[in-house]
Amino acid sequence: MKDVTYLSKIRIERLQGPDRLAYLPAEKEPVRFGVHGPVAEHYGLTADRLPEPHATTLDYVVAAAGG
Amino acid sequence: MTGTLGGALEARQIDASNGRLTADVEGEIETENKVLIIRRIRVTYHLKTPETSRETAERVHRIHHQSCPVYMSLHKAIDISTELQIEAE
Repeated sequence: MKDVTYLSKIRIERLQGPDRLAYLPAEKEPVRFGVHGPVAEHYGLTADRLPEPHATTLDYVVAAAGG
Repeated sequence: MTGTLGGALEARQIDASNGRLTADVEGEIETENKVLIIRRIRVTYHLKTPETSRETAERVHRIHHQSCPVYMSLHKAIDISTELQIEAE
């Protein structure tokens, strides 16, 4: 077992439904996770049940890979 | 991956700052057993650079993924491909 070089510690706060806040190291403001579009539909969330669309955790993984 | 490529380019005196290097990233998500799964990620880089830098930039692009922490963390689970488009100045 190698020594851990860096321990990434992140706090997630669930708001309601699919909406969550992620508090990342070195950032003053949290980022918001939610659902939108086809992902919202996948989870059966119609427009009337989804007042505010937000980027999904999947989007963040894609962004992090590209970043 | 954009950060890794940019750093590797600038280590070779190819300016990749202030909008000269951008990337369009696409993630293909499929459904398996009712679960959404990222299967493929495609990164298309756009680099504005003189024609004289093309060969070096292409060589750096071919190897940069090996130095990218997120690529190396994910590539066994997700097919990640990259393409470099050079806009010669």
